[in-house]
Amino acid sequence: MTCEQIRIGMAEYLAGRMSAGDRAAFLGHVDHCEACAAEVEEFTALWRDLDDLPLPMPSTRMLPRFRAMLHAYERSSRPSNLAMMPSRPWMWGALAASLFVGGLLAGHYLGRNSAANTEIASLKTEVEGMRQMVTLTLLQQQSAGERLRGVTWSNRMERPDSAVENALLTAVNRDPNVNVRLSAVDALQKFTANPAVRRALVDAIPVQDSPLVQIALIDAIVPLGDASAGSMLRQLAADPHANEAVRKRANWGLRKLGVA
Amino acid sequence: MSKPIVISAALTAAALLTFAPARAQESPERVVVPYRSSGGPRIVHASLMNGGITVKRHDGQDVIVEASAHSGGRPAHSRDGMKRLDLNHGSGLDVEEDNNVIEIKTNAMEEESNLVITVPANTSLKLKCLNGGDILVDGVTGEIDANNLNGKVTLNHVSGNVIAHSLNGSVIVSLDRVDASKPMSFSTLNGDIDVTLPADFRANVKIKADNGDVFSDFEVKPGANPHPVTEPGDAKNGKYKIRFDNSMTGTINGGGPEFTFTTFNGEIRIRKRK
Ligand SMILES: [Zn+2]
Repeated sequence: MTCEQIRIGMAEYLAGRMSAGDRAAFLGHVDHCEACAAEVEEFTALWRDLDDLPLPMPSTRMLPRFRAMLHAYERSSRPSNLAMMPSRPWMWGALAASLFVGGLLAGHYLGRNSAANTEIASLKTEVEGMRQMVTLTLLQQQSAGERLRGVTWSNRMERPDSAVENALLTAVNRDPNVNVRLSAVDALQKFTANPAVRRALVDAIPVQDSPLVQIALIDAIVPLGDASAGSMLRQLAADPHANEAVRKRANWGLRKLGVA
Repeated sequence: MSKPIVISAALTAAALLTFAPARAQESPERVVVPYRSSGGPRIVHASLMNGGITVKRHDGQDVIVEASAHSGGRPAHSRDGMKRLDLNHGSGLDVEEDNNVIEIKTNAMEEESNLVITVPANTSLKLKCLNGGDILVDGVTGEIDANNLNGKVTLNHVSGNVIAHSLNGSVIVSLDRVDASKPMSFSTLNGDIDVTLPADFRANVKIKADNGDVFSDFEVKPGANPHPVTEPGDAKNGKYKIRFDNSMTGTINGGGPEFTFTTFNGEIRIRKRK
């Protein structure tokens, strides 16, 4: 198997639904590939934990879709596979994703018709959707460790949607933990093509009570070369109540932007 | 769902004042939160305005909270020899338990009070100090979230996962075992970061040090960009000295969950457990 096939087969493997042959091939690759081994380890732990996490229902939009997909699957395929239906509604999403990934595999190995290809395209979207659901769920947990995990999960998404953007911005502004805020600033760097996100990062600076997060925000904004951040930085550089390191960094930013 | 238990420490303090009036210098208060078989591992939340927090492990299942309010170095006798009576506002220790989450607060605003919390080995901690005290944890396994404003954060021989921050102090952590699936984060504005990890731990690392050097015993395989320069280090600081613009990403032992190290004015050391 290739690394790509490992990624595709992950959910099948975790759900214990691989054939003995596929499983051997899967583990054969993982034994020799550090990157895949690390990914399997992380997914295994997440899979194990998902059932313990309270579901804050960020997925009101996602869940019906998963349910519909699940029912479609139920009607059309081997019913024996549904014996391991999880008790928590949250798991349905994960299961649905795994079923679809199962569909992917079938498409690959059994050479289904073109309908399968359409299905594969939609499957990819759904797996991405599952990543978003995991991110949003984790970001709402009590434990700072789980929220940090949510922030780092967002890094795996190819094209995160506005719900994730908003959740990360909320984390920057309101998360009680400094380290979660720092990571959220970092995760938002890939969204800075969106002017609204750039604006929100600038606006976050004065309301931020952690100097370290203020510096991280300055460092995120300045390389974008957006001179509109200048007035905020000038204000900060002149603010006697601001932390000394923050004032210095603001001055550095003004010089970099060429608006000092 | 169990009802919260509120344990008032005021009675204990009153008793101490009545029966042990000689203890003018220091008035410790002690609260024992007994183990309840219903729950899983404990979660202890403690926050202090003035003073430090020490967490120790014991073999028992109870959580024991001791607070000592210092008289701030004021003399025990007045200039003409009269004995000062400590009115003992106490540390205002307040301990609540709800469903295995233990909340510890002190209401003392001006007196410095130090907390010593003794916990079972498997306990998660959320600790916060503002002024004049250090956070010290020894031998605990769980999720440890430690946040200090002006003091150090020192976590010795802990296991599980750690999120630690100090604004002005150093963050010193030694991990015996790590939770292989969870990200960790260590940050400080003005202090150093010194983290010791098991030789085989895997991580994707993000390292940011604006004004200080970074040393590592581990080989950090650089990520996309910017490209750091790895130079030989020395015996004291670590095997490798890593130089880069002001931040870098990379992998250790092939990669794993994300580990973030951030300091603005300090140095970073990532050590291999010997
Ligand atoms: Zn691979």
